[in-house]
Amino acid sequence: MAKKLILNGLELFLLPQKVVYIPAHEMLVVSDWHIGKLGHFRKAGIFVPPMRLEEEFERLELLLRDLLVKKVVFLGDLFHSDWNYEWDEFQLFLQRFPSLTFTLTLGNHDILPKAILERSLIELKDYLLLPEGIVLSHEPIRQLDKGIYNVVGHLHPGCEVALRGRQYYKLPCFYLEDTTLTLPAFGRWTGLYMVPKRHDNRLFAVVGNDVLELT
Amino acid sequence: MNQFADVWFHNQGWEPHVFQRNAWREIAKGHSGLLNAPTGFGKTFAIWFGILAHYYGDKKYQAQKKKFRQNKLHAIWITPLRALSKEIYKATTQVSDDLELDYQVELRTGDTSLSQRQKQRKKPPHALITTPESVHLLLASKDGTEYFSQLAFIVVDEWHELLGSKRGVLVELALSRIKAINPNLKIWGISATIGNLPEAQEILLGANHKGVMVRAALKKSMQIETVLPDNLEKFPWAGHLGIRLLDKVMAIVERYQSTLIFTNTRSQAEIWYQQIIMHYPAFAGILAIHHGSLSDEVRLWVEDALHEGRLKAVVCTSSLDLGVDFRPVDCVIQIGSPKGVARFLQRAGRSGHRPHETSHIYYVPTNSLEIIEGDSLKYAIKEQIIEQRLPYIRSFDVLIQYLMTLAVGDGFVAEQIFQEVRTTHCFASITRKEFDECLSMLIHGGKTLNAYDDFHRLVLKDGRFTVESRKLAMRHRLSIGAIVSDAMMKVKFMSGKYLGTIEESFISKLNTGDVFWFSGRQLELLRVRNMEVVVRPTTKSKGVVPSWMGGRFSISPDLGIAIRHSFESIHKKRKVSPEVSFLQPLFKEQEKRSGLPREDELLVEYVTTKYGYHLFVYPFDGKLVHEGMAQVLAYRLGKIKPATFSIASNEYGFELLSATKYEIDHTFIQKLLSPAGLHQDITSGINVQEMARRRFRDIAGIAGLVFQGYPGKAMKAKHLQANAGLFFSVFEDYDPDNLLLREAYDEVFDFQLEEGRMQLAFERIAQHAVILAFPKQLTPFSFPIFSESFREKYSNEDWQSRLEQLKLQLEGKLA
Repeated sequence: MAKKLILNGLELFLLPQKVVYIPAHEMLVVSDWHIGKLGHFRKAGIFVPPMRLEEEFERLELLLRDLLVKKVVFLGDLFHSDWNYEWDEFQLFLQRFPSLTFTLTLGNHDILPKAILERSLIELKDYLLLPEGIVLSHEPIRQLDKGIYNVVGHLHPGCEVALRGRQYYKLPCFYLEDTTLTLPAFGRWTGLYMVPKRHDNRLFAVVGNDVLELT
Repeated sequence: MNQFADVWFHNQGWEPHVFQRNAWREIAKGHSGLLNAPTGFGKTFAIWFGILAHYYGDKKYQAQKKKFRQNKLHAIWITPLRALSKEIYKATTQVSDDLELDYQVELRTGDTSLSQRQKQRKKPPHALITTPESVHLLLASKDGTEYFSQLAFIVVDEWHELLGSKRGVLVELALSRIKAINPNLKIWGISATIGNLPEAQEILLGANHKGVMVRAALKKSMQIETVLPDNLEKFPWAGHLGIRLLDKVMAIVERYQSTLIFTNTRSQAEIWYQQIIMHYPAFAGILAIHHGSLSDEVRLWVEDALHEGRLKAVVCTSSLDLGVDFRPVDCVIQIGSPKGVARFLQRAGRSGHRPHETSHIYYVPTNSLEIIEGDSLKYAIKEQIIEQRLPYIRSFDVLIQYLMTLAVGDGFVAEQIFQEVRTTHCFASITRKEFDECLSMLIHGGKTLNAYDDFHRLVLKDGRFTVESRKLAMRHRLSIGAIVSDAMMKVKFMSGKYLGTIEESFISKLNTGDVFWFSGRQLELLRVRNMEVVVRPTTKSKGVVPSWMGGRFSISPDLGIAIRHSFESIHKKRKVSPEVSFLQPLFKEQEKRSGLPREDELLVEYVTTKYGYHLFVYPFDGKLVHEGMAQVLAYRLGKIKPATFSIASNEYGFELLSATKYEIDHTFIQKLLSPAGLHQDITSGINVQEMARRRFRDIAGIAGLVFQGYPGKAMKAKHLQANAGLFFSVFEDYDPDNLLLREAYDEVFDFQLEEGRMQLAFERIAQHAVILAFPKQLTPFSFPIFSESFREKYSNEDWQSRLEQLKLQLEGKLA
């Protein structure tokens, strides 16, 4: 079950697949995928097994098939570091969707040379503004005008849930504070930054096939 | 017999001990060996004069020496501690000075400057005093082979200390290489008494060695006293700090000239220091603190002040366990369980260490049940129950590091190194296939089948594996070693004065302006830049004390035996120790609330609290065995009704806590604790993944998977940082047969879930009558276990149903 949020009158669905879907714009927002991370380690001489990229791509493909999507926005940190072969495989994957547009709002990990990025199918931006007054960017933008919401990534938020019998679970979560909505990292091999639940923030934990709000 | 020793001892006005003469004789005969002697009796000289006599007197060596174009390294002295290296360096250079010998001794440790190290490589001294890591660094330099070509001696000091860790494996591997370079090499180990001395000797000298054992038959007198609280009722049932006995401790300190106060963790040391200064302000200036995270400058100052008798007391951790003698110290206080008999003895020996003095040690319990350990320690020492040091075997992480080390140095021929490695105890059982798998991780970054061309670490050139990338070589040299620590940050004053290191995870929880205790000072956090924390002294509000990871020892099996012996005497009416008779009221309370088991009885308690349903079992079999038993029981309970358990254990017993209720009676418990089907349940039932995941942290660090970053270039390496947990998951998913992953599981079974001991425990318990109690509240026995913050998790509920539970709870709250 997805969780619906309404920001400035626009419906946003927080999906358990750790993405945001905005039906009004037929838009899917994906943050912090960090493709190429394991490849980057290997290139630096650290012997991790190679990633099964097909599995990773399939996670996005399933969403694109299920939902009505015209535009995919990668909210930064799409590719982990400088070029390795995983980037090329990713490009081949994108070519399977000629009818879609892909946008990347650049993040701190997106350090691929401009020339390589520009050759790809992905449109590059620092941020993306939706007409309802919602800005999509990798890191929060300071001093936004009042009433403007900022949808961001970067943090890889997670939260801890305590259960009876002294059990604790760490779960990825969506995180809303003031006018900033932070997405969990889409990438599989990423860590969690634990966000404490306070009275002035809202945490939406990803629990299996559901997104549930912590109270 | 040894002319150098004769002159020198004569000049000092000393008479050599018998063991020293024995050692000189054996070395003169050309033997290798192991010297077993306590600290403070001149064990250094027992070996050192043998080395000198060889250098100046051995005929074969004289003939060889004539052919040297320049000076060649003659001896290496390996110690586990830099502080100890300095001590050995001082003692040995003193001998050269006193006797006006041209035998040059130099230090080579992590502190040695780059220029000094380069000089040592180009113009070697006669002897190097160094650490296992530094020897590997020498092997990682070009012409390392040539450097060791004429080496006559390797001495491994405090071998018992290195043996039980992966640093021991580093020593084994270095020896295998240097022995191959130089077959005439003589190896000498120095070890305190441990339970498996012959094994320690064999591991050091090699299987089928012809070495000798030289033992010092010296007895030391020791006085042990347990510090008891005035009032048992007001003493806490659980806790690890011991601050309640502060006044008693200080009364003891007043009576002696100089006291070492040993704590088990660095944060405990900080807290004790802070409390003493707060309540006994007169101690400012004559009280110091010493632990492994403080800067060398701070530690050296403390050590010098101790030598000179300027300090009344020092609060310290295991950082002062070893080696160095402080003559003025005449009293030792141990706060909390020492967790092992050998450690307790070693610490006791820090006071009154001259041959005919008495060592005074006071044991300060931190909670009521812990008082009984005073009785156990005395018993263990009287009966000479001393721990064995279990060596690591099949540590592929260290092997991978070692192969890389050799490649960075002169390169290596695979077949040759395989043969050498197989002569070590650690890798005696390694197969060629396993060796090749380690190699292929370095060559292809994994199994040969799915090699990727973007991976390059080792390159094969003229039959030798080498490393071509200078960047990789440098990164490897920076990460040689078998001690893995968290990312550390340097703590500095604005002036740049360096205080020590602190874990990044602690600092990340603080904000600018926050106050914390470190190095015995109250400090205000000014800013964090790169890997540096800038602070200033403050008197502002109360601060927090950092907790360092690690240092979470569990009690040794041998002390466990002694503790069980103590508990057997709790029903005795006469001839009981002061500790046991003092605890009588507590045992009465236990009996009133639940039951007090006799020797042939097993107590089981089932208690309900707001946390859920707690099953407590008290086999008194030691923490290690309890952890395993708890896992087996969790598995068996889960088969009856799926559940998730939180597991805690201590020396006396263990706890299984769950939100699921079980109908428990005598038959049920007997079936649960039956030895039948144990093997099956251990091998297939226990969920060791979490345990293995924790072990993997060190393995990944040693094997070179986790990279801490270049000093001063923290940012650049950021994209390469990942925690070991990530790698563990990646391997589990993509390469489940990986050797390093398997090593993590093997270590769990070797060190945590030892099947033989568990079998014995289950069989013993099967003979016992079960006392089953349903106390209304927690009992004196259960409370300390209940309070354990470190817990394992076990679950056999499938992931989906656990999520369901989680959801129900979250949604329940929503409603």
